[in-house]
Amino acid sequence: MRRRTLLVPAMLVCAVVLIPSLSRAQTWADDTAIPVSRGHWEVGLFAPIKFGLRDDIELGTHPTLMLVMPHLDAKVLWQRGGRAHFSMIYSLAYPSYLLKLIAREGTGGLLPPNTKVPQSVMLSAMMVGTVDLGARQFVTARAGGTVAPRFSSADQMPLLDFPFLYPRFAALKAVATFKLGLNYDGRMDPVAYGLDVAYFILPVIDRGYTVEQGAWVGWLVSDHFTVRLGYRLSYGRYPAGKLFSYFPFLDLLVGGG
Amino acid sequence: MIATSANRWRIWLVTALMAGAGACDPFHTGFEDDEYPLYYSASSIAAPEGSPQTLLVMDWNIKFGGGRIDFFFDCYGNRVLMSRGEVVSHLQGIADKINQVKPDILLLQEVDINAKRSTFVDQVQWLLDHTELNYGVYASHWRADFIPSDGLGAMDSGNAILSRWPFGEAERIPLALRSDQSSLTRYFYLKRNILRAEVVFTGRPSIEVLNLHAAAYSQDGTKKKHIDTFKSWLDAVDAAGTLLIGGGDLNTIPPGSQQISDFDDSVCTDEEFIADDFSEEVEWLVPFYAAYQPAIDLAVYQANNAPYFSHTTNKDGFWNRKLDYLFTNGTWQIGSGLVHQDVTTGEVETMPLSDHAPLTAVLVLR
Repeated sequence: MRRRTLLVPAMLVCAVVLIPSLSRAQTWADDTAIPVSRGHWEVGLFAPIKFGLRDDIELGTHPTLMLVMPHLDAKVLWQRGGRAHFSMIYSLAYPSYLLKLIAREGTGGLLPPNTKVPQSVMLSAMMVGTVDLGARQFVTARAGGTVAPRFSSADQMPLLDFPFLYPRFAALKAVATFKLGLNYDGRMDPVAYGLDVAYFILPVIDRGYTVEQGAWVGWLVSDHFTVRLGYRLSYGRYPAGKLFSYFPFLDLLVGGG
Repeated sequence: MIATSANRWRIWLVTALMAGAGACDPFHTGFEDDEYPLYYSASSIAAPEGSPQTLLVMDWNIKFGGGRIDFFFDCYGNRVLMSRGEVVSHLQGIADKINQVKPDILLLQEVDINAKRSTFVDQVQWLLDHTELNYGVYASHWRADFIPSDGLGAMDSGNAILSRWPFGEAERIPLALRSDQSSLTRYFYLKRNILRAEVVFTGRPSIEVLNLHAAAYSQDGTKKKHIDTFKSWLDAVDAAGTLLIGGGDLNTIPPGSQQISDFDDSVCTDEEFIADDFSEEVEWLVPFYAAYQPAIDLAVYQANNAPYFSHTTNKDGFWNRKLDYLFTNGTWQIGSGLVHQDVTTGEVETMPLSDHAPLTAVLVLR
């Protein structure tokens, strides 16, 4: 308990200590087709690390999740024309180790302890198009899919039907899953905000789908530190039937570059 | 109006509190105090006799169609989930036994209607569609969108009453929760109930059926509270002058049982799953036997316990304790009480079907 109590203040302290050493951040990453600028980086308690490898390539991974599920996202700017931007986001993940970790007895056992987890990878590709409305307001649409090559039949793959994780791991039990999304992101200093809706087609079961809707508001404390508060809703047809779930979140992000 | 810094913080705080309040049951494990049972009917209805003279009543804990798979909580194995083939095969065995007995009213415990462990088969509907029973009511005692423990996942399991005759009013009576668990465990744990339902006949007064599955593993007196509450409800129905059947898996043994602890099938060392010491419970059911007629007469049981044992966790052993009961404020047909232990007693081998043997008796209608 003591360790947990100290964790958040410690991270805050780290953030504050780090801020003076950072060079001025040019921008915070928006959930758009536009990659962050070259050399920019940012990371949150829950948000992934984003790093501008070049002005047209952004790499992303989650630092904690990376330890148990190696994964990498690459956002590649494909075309920029006037106010329109088009990118592809490619993702590669190796989920087998994570699935083995959560196949355990007692609390935290999201899968049965006797689950046999085959080796597999998940590959995703997402087309993203953004219209810059000016004054740092963006509308973004996306469409893509995920496949999971595996050394096992889909029937033998474990079903991870935990809310919010289900649409992200369902490809392990299906030929492919698909996602359509629309989001609006904006910034009016010192406030940033985002609103999104996503529709997942999940052919794990007949007419399987989930719809997620989220929103967040961020306070841009400085060019290097921001606080975000938001929620995500999920409604969909799971193997257990139609379920509604949601969670609020608070995230602290630091960035620089 | 431009929000001040203080106002901004207030807005954030209120938003966070609202979000937190809304998320207090994020996995939907709770029940409303006045939550209604679910009503079922078979896909095809066989018209029952309008005014029967007797009712064959059956009580059975069917272990969610788990048959004799060695599940982790019995400490014989580590299974958590079943295949659909296993579930349907076990349910077919249960339905075959029900069809052999041909009960008029069936009290069931541990029935899954939407659980990952039993491949989301609605077992109440399945049994209605594969037996001669027409109607059902169901009250959940364990429900969650997802249980993040042992890989259990989605769960909806509870008590059910099936009948040839339709149900009138039915009620899910919530029971005390265990107090010897952490709040997190309690949030996801079973929330037991008494399922009370009125069976409606044409040409004669209706009867009340009350079904209980009492706590099994509690160390804090919760089981006693469940049993006492059940007795209170039987008394209330009896006081109203209504003919009643009360039964279920009471998870305790009758007074005068010869063995009260250290059963040879109990292999659990984890205290959470130890349930074989009844030494402090031997008097708990005395008020039931004093006030109501049991399906198995107490003197008969005390003279020879073994023929009336209805439970064992060891599929390779034999029934070694009596946990399952039927009581009435009416009259059971003399000598009709029977525990269907095996082919000899009930014409069908019931050991492979569940960790409980079914109990039947014939109720004489006034």
